[in-house]
Order: sequence, then structure tokens, then C-alpha cells
Amino acid sequence: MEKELVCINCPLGCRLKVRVEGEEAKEITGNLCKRGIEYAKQESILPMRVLTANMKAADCERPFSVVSSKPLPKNMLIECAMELKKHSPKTPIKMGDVVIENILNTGCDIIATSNLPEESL
Amino acid sequence: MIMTDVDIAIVGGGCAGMSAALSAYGHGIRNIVIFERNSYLGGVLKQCIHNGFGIHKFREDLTGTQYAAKLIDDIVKTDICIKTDTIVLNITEEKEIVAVSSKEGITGYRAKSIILAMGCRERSRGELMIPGSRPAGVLTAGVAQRYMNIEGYLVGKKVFILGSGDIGLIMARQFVLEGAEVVAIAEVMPYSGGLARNIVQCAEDFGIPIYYNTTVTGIVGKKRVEGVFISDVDENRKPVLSTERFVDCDTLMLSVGLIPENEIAFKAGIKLSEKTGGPIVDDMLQTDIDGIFSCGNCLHVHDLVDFVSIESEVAGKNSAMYILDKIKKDKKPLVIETNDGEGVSGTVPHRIDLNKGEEEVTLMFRPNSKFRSCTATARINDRIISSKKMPVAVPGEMCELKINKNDFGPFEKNDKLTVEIIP
Repeated sequence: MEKELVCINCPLGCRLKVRVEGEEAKEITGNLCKRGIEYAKQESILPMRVLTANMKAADCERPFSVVSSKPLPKNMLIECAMELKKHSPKTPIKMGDVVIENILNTGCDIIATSNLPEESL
Repeated sequence: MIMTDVDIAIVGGGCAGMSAALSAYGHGIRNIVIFERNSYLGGVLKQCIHNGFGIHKFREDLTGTQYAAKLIDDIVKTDICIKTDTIVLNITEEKEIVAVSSKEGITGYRAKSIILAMGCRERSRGELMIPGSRPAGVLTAGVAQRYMNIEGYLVGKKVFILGSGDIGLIMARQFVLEGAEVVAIAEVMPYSGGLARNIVQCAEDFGIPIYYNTTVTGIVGKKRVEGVFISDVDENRKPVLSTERFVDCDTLMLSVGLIPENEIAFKAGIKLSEKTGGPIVDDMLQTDIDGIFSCGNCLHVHDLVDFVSIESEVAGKNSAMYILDKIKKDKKPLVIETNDGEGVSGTVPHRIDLNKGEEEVTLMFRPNSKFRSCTATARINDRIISSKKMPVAVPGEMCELKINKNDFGPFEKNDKLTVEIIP
């Protein structure tokens, strides 16, 4: 089966042509770098996505932002996003802090990408 | 008014302003001031919590907040003067600046060089002239993003989105991840203005339909949005009212384009381009006033912050060169203007001086429609100076074409460098 995919690794968005046999991606063209190959292979087996979202701390009105330490299965994105709402860590939160370890057994940690309270600049 | 003397004054402390400042600093200029009207540096990056930033510039996949933090960390290490909560009211041809803040009141500066890095703002409902009532719940994507990511409010539970630009797509995904429903995205054009990756990972991943050739023709609701009317559009982008139908929603989010902010540039008499909305610049990113440079989204709207950084570093460097008197003045200017040819819109820079600046020039432009396996070329009359094959070119993604000044050859006074995309 011929499939067309858009590589989402970077904003260039290479248009990939992939021949899929069963679950295996064979003959991948259109990629400008090797990440396109990996993406097409992974996308044919189990699509993975990075999760970014906001979380609230227990003692602050303003939110802070988080990212998953690596891509997690696409079909678990919403479930993981809802899981974030069950956690409310205490301030101070520093960019790079691990806020949740191994979220829903995906092997991914949830990492803060902003500071709370905000730094002055 | 007491005037403070500075070497470089930078209007705007977003990615462009910070990148330009760091570049000028790196080229030896020390007396630099950045004016930022927000209370923090970073501009729109601070509300971009999604990833996909920095792959070209830092070779890392960062969130907008992380990208901003890298620049801010570097700025803080220098003695560049930062004026936050300060808005620039006026600049003049003589490079005098009037700024105002609640802390310092009205202040005046005299700069040797100015870098314009004001960024852009969103087109709003008023500019689209959508009929209907004026309830709460109509907002632009950037405003929704600020409410959600900086202030921490969910601005709607059942959202209809007009416009498939990048911020709109990113926000569609964020609404879903925050537990809201995104009904659909309407796009007046037959194609999306957003990056392909965003259509995949923000709309398709969550089963959000995009209705092309469709627009919003009415807003319903008294206190709060109760729904919108949408209609198909004909080939002239005019709504076909017989196709009008009602969509139930509590929020209408607009992602319908960005406008470079150049009011102070215009007031200073700087010539603006009708196509990009930004100043007319040469290949050193200098406007038609000597020593005033422009970069980032106020020069032309970018898709990627990485390219804003790279462009702004050029402006910062040339501003430094201008002050250090290192711009070659001994040679007469040898200027050729650029020109949008077939398939191309908004080429920057608008003119190239073969006797000044760097040897290699990067032409930036947008395709005016969708192309598959095409060639971008730059030519003087029938003589091709540079060309590049592209598998795909779409209006949502800015194209680049590098061109070497040594390849120009002889040209007449009225000749232009025409940039084209040929299928």
C-alpha cells in the first residue's frame, strides 16, 4: 500500500511517500533528513507525539507549561493531558523540573518549561 | 527633554529584538537599549508552550518558552539595557526616540542606529467585517493563547475556528487537550495558510475537520456567542448566501492573518511595502533612512522563529557595522531592485547593493498558490542568476533562494531582479 505522510519532526514538513507492507514501512522517499525515515517507520507502527500543555500549581493562580520528555503514543495524548489536571505541585517550579515521573506508565516524564513564579524578565 | 545618548536603540524585546541586540553586542557595540512594552522579554514566544522551535537555530526541539529562555539568559549575561513596560511613541529620521513608561515617565533618547523589531499583530473581527451581534467569546488566536497560557483561563468549551493559520491550528489542539471541543475550522482559501506539520498534528490527529472555501457570515448571541453562520465562498472569495448554515458553538476564534506593526516607522517617514506591510529594505535590512534597520515579523511575517533569529542577527550585525563605519562607503552604490514575478509575493529584500554588505544574499518570498515540483528562480531579464528546485511550495511556508553577488553580471539602470516560481 502506498501512503503519503507529512513528517512532523520539524517545520519543513517533508512530504513522504511510503510503501507499507503489513505494518512495516518500506521504500521511503521525499525526506530531507534521516529523521523522516524514522518518522515514517514509527508512524506506520504506532504514531507518537510530544505532549505540551499547561498545569496549575497548588498555590498559584497562573499556570506553568510542561512538555513530555519524549514522544508518547498518540492514542494516549488526551488521557495523559487529563492526567495532568489531577496533579498540582507546589511552587517554586523551575524550568526543567520533573513534575510527574513516568506518566500513566508511558515511560515519559513531564517536565516544566516555564518558571513559577515568573522571573522578573 | 533630557536626551540620553545610546549607540543602538531596539524597539521590541521579542525574538527579533533580542537576537539583533545579541548580534550587535557580539560585534563590539556595548551601549544598547531594548524597549519592550510588555512587562517581560520574549514577546509571543512566552505564550507558545508547544514544541517545534529551535531546530534550525539550536539543533534542538524546544518549546517557545524554552527558546525565549535561551535568548533571555544570553541577554542577562550582557550589560544590554532593558526597558520593560516601556512603549516607544515616536522615532524620527534623526534617530531620536520618545518612550514612555509608568516608572520613568516620558524619556528621550538619541541613537546612532535604530533597529525596528516591533513584531506583528493579529487581524481582528473588525477588519473582516463579520456581521452579527457583539457577544463575549469572539477572540483572536493569539489572545486566546495568552489567556490560556499566561493567565490560565479556558476561554471556551465549544469552539469554532475561522482561519487555518498556524496559531489557529496550534490553539485547536490545545483546546482539545484542555478538555474543550473544537467543532471545526473554516478556511476561506482552498488551502491552509499553516504549516503542513500543524495540519497533521493539530487538526487531523484530533479529527477536527477543516472546511476549505468557507467563511463565517454571521455571529449569533447576546451576552455570549451562541453560534455562527458559515457559508461557502465562490472563486472570488465572496460568500454564497444560499449555502449559509448555522453552527452551534460558544466561542469563535479568529486566526486570519498577521499584520506587521509599523505605525512608528510610518510616522518617521520610512517607506513601507504594500505587499509585506513592512519597511522597504536593502540586503543589509536597512530601511530607506540610513542607520535604521528592520527585522523579524515587523519586516515581514515569518512562519518560523528560527528564521526570525537568523534574519535579526543580520540586522544587528549591520547596525553595528554602520556605527563602526565599516560599511563600505568608498564604492558607489550599485543597486538593483527585486521584483515579484510569476507565482511569488512579497520578496525581501527589496533592493540589493552589490557594492555593500555580504557577498551572499538570501531572498525570502512566499508562493502565491500551491505548487508541486517547481523551480524558484531569480533572473535579470532572461538571464537566470540563481535557481532552486522545490518538491512542494505553498503560501503558508516562506521560501528562500540564495544568490551570490558575483553572479549578477552586468545590468542596466532600470533592470530588476525578478523572482519567480515556475511549475
